[in-house]
Amino acid sequence: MTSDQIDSQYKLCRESFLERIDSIISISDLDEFYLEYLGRKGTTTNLLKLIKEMLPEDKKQYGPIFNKLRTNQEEIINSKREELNQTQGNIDIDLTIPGAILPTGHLHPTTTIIREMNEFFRYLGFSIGEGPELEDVEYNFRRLNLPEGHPATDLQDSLFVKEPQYLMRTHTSSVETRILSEYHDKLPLRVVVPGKCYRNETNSATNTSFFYQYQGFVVDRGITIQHLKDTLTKFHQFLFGDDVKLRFRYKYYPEVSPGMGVDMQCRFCKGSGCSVCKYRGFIEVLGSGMIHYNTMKACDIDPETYTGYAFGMGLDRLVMSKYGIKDIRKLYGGELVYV
Amino acid sequence: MKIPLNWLKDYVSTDKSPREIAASFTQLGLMLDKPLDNSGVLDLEHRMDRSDWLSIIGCARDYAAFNKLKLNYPKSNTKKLPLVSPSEMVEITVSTPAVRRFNTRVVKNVKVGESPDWLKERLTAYGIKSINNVVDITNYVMVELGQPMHAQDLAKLKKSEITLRPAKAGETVRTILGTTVTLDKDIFVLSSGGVAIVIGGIVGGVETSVTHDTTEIILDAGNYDQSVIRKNSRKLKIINETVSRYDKFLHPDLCEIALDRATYLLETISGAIVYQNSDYYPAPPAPLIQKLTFARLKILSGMDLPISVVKRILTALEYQILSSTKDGLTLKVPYFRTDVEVEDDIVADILRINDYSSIPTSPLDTPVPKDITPAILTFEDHLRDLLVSFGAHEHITASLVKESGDSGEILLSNALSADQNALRTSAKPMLMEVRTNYHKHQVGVPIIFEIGKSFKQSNGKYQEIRELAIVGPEVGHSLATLMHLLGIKYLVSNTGEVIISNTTVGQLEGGAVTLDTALLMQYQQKYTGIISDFTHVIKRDISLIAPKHVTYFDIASVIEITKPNFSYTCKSIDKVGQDINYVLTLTWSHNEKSIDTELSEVIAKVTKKLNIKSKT
Repeated sequence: MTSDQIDSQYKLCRESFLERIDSIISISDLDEFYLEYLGRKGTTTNLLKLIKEMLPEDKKQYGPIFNKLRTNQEEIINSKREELNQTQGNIDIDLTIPGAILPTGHLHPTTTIIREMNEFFRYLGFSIGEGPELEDVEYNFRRLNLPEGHPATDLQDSLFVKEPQYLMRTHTSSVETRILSEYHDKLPLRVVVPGKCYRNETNSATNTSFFYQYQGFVVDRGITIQHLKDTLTKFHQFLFGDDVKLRFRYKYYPEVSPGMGVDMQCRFCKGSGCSVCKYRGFIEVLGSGMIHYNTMKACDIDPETYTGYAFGMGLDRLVMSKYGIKDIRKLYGGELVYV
Repeated sequence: MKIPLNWLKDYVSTDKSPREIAASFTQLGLMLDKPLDNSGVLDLEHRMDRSDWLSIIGCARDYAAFNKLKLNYPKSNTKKLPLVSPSEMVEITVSTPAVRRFNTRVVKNVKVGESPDWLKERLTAYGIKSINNVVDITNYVMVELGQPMHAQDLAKLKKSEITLRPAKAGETVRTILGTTVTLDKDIFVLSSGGVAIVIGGIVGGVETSVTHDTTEIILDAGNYDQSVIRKNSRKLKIINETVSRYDKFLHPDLCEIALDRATYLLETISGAIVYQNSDYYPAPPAPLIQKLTFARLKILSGMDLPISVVKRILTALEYQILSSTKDGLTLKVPYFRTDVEVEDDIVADILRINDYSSIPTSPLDTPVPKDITPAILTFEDHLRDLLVSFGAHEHITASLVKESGDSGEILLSNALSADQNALRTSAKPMLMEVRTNYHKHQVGVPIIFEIGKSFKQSNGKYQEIRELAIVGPEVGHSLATLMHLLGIKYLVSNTGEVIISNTTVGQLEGGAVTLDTALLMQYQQKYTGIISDFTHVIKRDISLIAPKHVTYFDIASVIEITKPNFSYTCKSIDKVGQDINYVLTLTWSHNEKSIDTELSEVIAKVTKKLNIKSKT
C-alpha cells in the first residue's frame, strides 16, 4: 500500500467517525458504532493492523498517529456514552422530558432597570457618569443654585457626616456639577448618572434612608427645551411603549430655569382617575429643565455660549412597579428571593 | 395651597369646571395635589419659590394671564391715614437683624363680634376656623394677599411700646394655642414692658389676644428673614399658616398693601377708625430691573414667539415694560416676584403662560460628544455578569448601619435613629444578614453578592471604597471561578488576604470574600481564556509531604519565587499520618524542552526552603 493510500484511509476513518458520532442518539446505536470502528474488525482496528506490515520508517511515522486516533475515538465514544446515560439512561431519548435548570444567578432588579435605561441613552450618544456618595455641599447644593439658607438645603432633610460641609448626597445632581466642573473646557457633554442617594428618613414601606435616582444632562451649543421634550418623550416610549401619553408642565426646581415637570397618563385608568394615580389621571414621573444660568457659571461654563438640559427621576417606584414589589424594604433589605 | 373656587372667582370671572381650572393650575406650576372632590376647594402643590402663590390673588393673577382673563383686585383703603396722636403712639423698637420691616397701625372704636357669613364661609372653605371679626380679617387678608398679620389688644400691652428683640434663654410665651413655649436667644420675640408676648413670625401670645371686650388694637404686618423663621419654627415644631408664609421670601412692600386691605375691611365690617402708627422699614430694597433679550428667549425655547405675545404675557404678570427695542425689553420685575433671579426666569414665565404643552419637540442634532464613561463602571458591570454566570445573585443593601466601632468608621452627625448612625465599612455584614434571611425562611442559601461603595476615614480624610462582597457556600470556589474568568493569578495568604502580584486586593474570611474592584480592574486580563487552537498541554503531578503548619500558601509562595513558566493548581490534599500530602498539578501550555529541569528545580526549591519531602 502506498503512503498516499494509507493517508487517504486514515483521513476517511477519522472524518467519517467525527461526522457520524453527533447523529447517534441511543446507547444501542453507540454500541454498534463502537464495533464498526473499534471492534475486532472495525475500520480503525484494521488501520492499526496495517502498521505491522509497514517499513520501519513508516511504522515510526504512522504508529503514533494511528494509536492517537484510536485513543481519541475511544475518548469521544466514552464521553458520548456518559452524555447519553445522563440524559436517558439506557432507553432511547425522550425529548419531552423537561430539562434541568443549570445553576445561574440574577441581577438585582434595580441593576436590570438601570441597564435598560443606559442602553437607551448609550444609543443616543450619552456617557454613563458617576461621582461620590459622600459629598461636599459645594457640589450638592452651592453649584446647583442652592445658596446657604435655601429651604431645600435644610439640615433636617439631609444626612450630614460633618456639618456643615460634608453630607451624603441628596440627589445625583451633585454628579452633574462635578462633571460640568471637570469638563467645563471639554464640552459638549451628554451624560446619564444612575446612583444611590440619601435622605434623613426612617424606613417605611415606601421610603428608605437611601433611594436610587437616574440623572441625565446635555450641554452643548444650541440646546433648547425642545430637545429635552424630545429626549424625554422617546425615553418614555422606550420604557412603556409608543402609546405612552406624557404631560409637560412648568415646575420649579432650583437647579434649572425654565423648569419642567413631566407626568405620564395613568396606564390603569387612561387618565380618568383611579386609586393608582390618586385620581389625578396622571402620575408624576420626573423633574427636568434647562440647566440654571447660575449653575453653569458656578461650573465655569459660559451660559451665553452653552445651554443645557437636565432631568432626574426616582428609580425605585419604577423598579417596584415593573417587578410587582410593594415594599421598598424588600427591594433593598435582602428579602428578595430569586426564582 | 388651598383655593376655594368661590373665593378665586372674586378676582377672575370664569365659568370653567373645577377639573378645567385645576388643569390650568397644573400647567402653571401649581399641580393638583389632592384628588378633586365636591367641596369646591382645589388643593394645589406649592413649591418653595413663589411666595405670591401662597395667596389667592397670586394664584388668580397667573390663572388670569394663562386664560387671557382680567384680574379684579379687591378693594383697599389706600388713602394716607392720619397719624395716631403722640400720646397714643405705640413705640416700636427693633434690636434683631431678623426684622426687615415692621409696619403698625392703631385701630380704635373696634366692635369685636362675629364675622359676616361671606367671610366665615370663605375662611371655613380654606380651613381656618372663624374666631371673631378682627382675627378673621387678619386671617382673610393673609390668605388673600399672602401677608401674615397680627392684631393685639392695645389695653393688654404692659406698656405702650413693642420691642422686637432676641428672646432671653429660658424666657417663656403662652401661645394662643394654649401651650407654653420656652425660648432661647436664637428666637426673636415681641415684648412689651419687658415681657415677651409673641414669638416673632411664628405664633401670637394669649396675653394680648383680641377678645370680645377689646376696643382698641395694635395691628402689625412684619417682614422677617425667612431662614430665621424656618429654623426657629422647625426647632419649636410649630408649623402653621403664618409660618408657611413667613418661611418664604416675602417682599417687605407687601406689608403696607396688606394693611391697606385690612384697614378697608376693619372700617367696613367693624366700624373701626384706623391710624398709622410707626413703620420700621430701614432699608427698602430697590426694584429689580431685568433685561429680556429675544435672542435668549429663542436660545432656550427654540421658538420664535411674536413680540406682541411676549408683551401681553409679561404685562398680565405685572412686569412693567420700561423700554422696548428690536432686541429685547427692559423690565421692572413686580415686587411680589421675589423668585426672579435671572433673565431665564422671565423666559420661564413666558413659556409657562404660553403653555408648555405648546412647545414642539426636536431631536438632538449636534454631533455625539466623546464618551467619558469611567472604565470602572464598565468593569463592575462585567463583574456582575461573570458572577451571575456561575449562579450568584445580586443584592443591594443599605449603606447606613448601626455603629460597629470598627476603626475608620464614619459616623453621621444627625442620624435619625441609632440603628442607622454610621456608614458601612463593608457590605459584608449586610450580606450576612441577607444570608440569615434565607436561613430564616428555610431557603437554600445561594451565592450572593453586592457591588457598591463602602466608606472609611483615615487621618481625617473620607474615603469611598469600591467593593465587591461575595457571601455563600464554599466562597473560595466563587473567588477561584471569578479570578479564573478574569484571567487573574492570585493567592490567599495564611491570614486570608487575597494577593495579586504582591498587592492585597481583598480579604477572604468567615464565609465571605471582599474585593476592591478598582484594584481588581488593574489586574484583569481582558482577552484571555479563549485561544484559536487546541493546544497539547503537558501536565505533571508532584506530591509534597509537609507538616500541618505548612500551608498551600507557603508552598505557592516558594513556587512564585521561581517565576514559574507553568500554571499550577492543587489537585488534592490528604492526611498522611501527622503530615499533609499536597498533590499539585503543574501545567505547561507548550511542549517545553526544559520541563524536566524546571520540575526538578521547583521540587528542590520547595523542599529545601520549607524543609519538607517530595514523593514525586
